[in-house]
Amino acid sequence: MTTTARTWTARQTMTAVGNETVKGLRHGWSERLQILIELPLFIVFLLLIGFTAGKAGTIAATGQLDWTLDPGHMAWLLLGFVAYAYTYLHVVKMFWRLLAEIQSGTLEQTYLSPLPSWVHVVAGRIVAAIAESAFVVAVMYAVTASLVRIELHWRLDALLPLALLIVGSAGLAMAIAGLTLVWKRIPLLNDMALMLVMFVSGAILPTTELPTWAETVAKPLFLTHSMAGLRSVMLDDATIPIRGTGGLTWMLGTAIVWFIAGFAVFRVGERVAQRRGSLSRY
Amino acid sequence: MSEQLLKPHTTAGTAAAPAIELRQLTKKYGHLTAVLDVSLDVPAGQVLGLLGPNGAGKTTIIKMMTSLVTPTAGTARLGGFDIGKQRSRAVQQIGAVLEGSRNVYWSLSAWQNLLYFGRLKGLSKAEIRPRAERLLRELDLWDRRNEPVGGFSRGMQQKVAVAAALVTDPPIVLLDEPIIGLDVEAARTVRHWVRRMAREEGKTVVLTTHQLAMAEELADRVAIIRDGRIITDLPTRELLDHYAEDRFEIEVSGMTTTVAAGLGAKVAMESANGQATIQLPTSDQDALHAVLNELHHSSVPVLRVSRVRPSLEDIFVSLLKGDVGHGNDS
Repeated sequence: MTTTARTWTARQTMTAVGNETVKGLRHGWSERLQILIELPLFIVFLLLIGFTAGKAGTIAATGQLDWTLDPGHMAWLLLGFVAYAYTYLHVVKMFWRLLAEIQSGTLEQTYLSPLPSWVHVVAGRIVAAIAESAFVVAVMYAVTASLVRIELHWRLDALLPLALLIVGSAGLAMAIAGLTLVWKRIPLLNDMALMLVMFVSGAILPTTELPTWAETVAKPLFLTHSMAGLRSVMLDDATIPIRGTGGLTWMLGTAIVWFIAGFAVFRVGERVAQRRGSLSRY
Repeated sequence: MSEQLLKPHTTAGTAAAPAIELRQLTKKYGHLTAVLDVSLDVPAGQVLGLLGPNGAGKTTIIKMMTSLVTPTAGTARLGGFDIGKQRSRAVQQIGAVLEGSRNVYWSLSAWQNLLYFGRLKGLSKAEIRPRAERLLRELDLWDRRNEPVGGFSRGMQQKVAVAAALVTDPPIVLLDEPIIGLDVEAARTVRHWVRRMAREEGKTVVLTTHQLAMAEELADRVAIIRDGRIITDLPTRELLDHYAEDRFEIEVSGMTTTVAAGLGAKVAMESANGQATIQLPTSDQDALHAVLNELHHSSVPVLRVSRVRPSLEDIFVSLLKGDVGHGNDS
């Protein structure tokens, strides 16, 4: 019997985070069939939006839908969907996998790790979410590009909005995780939050064309600014502005605030669950 | 890479410090008190059997010790580290098989599970591999190490859970109902492992179980919990001796209800297949002779007279019923 304990080193942290990442990827791989089923839905949804969005005037005037895709509009939509698909996949997969771990009781075992719980709940899922969404986005891009010419500017500074998108999504995922620990069955809330985010963030329609209330809701969302920043770089070939929607200030600020807020919600939810003794109760 | 070894910075951080120290541990859920004022010291290398009926508070104590449930009051130290204030170091001291949960990932293989749980606690692959191989070989799982655990029998899954709890070689092992739902063979394997962990590897084991024979066989000490309170906490042998009011058992054949009625109300009797066992409540010689005389007069053939000691199960049932006084000496 030893009454000593090792200090938790950076190497051990990396080992544990890598461990969670591998687990996340394994889970992703085990759900490959589900992803393959979801994939056509993403594509069909994107194409339907591409065919119909912004064409209400023409449809009303002629009574017909012009079944052509506008290259500029499709590139704009595709970038919005890239950002949204990442957030969607991260949050949804995190929610269902966390629920599965609560139900099976493996979550309690992961809590016996010396690593802070938020790291193993979130960290491993980030890489898995990136891998899954990269696959989904690549297929969406390939299908769209086969139907219409997509012109994008592949610049390194596009990585900044993508990185901040990951940070903000991690915050949203942590908030949902915290709520899941307390209330377990919250898929309706989860789906509603994601639908609202998709609608107001500018994934489908430009925020300037949304009702005033929606624009107000969109402003503090990290997704709104990451999406706008990504479009500035890859669509307009412009540098990321400092201010305004999609500007560096808003992009950075909202991502950090969402991460901190998500962390806080997660910690509160976790403490409530530990106080109630419901970390594994379903 | 150098890893600093830390002594726990507590008053208990001495060589003689208990492996587990619980101080006035209390858990209340609203008006319901699940655990009240539980204080225990478990020395290194001891097997503590935590016994009690369903809902007594055994699992809540285990979960408070592992920080899975926050205590309303009190503290728990593992290897000298306070689980509330030094969680990261405290959890490095323990491996746990928790009741009512899978404990391991069914979608992963046994080998992947052991690698995962080893790395979860910061061990490198090189450190885990030899331990994982030894554990899987000794638990007869080596040949099936690459199969998903979901396809295993319940007993094999529990073996994987035990192996996962031990893969980091923790000094303290918490086993919450480890053989529940296991068949005889698998239960025997787990019992063998608990004995081995304690006797050969010097691990401190806390074992909650409804299998009192298992506790009697393995536990050095028994704490009995009722309604969240420890009502008895004694070394197993001492507990058995403490309540060891020997009694006589007489086996007879051809017993009739008329004869049985004549033996008196204090005598218990069980009968099956034409034979009966008469249990006298005490080891009083006069009472024995009186019963034997009655049997002789009634021409009932006596097959055997023996002096028996109560089992832990008898004592447990008596304590819970309140038939005997409590022996909380700690």
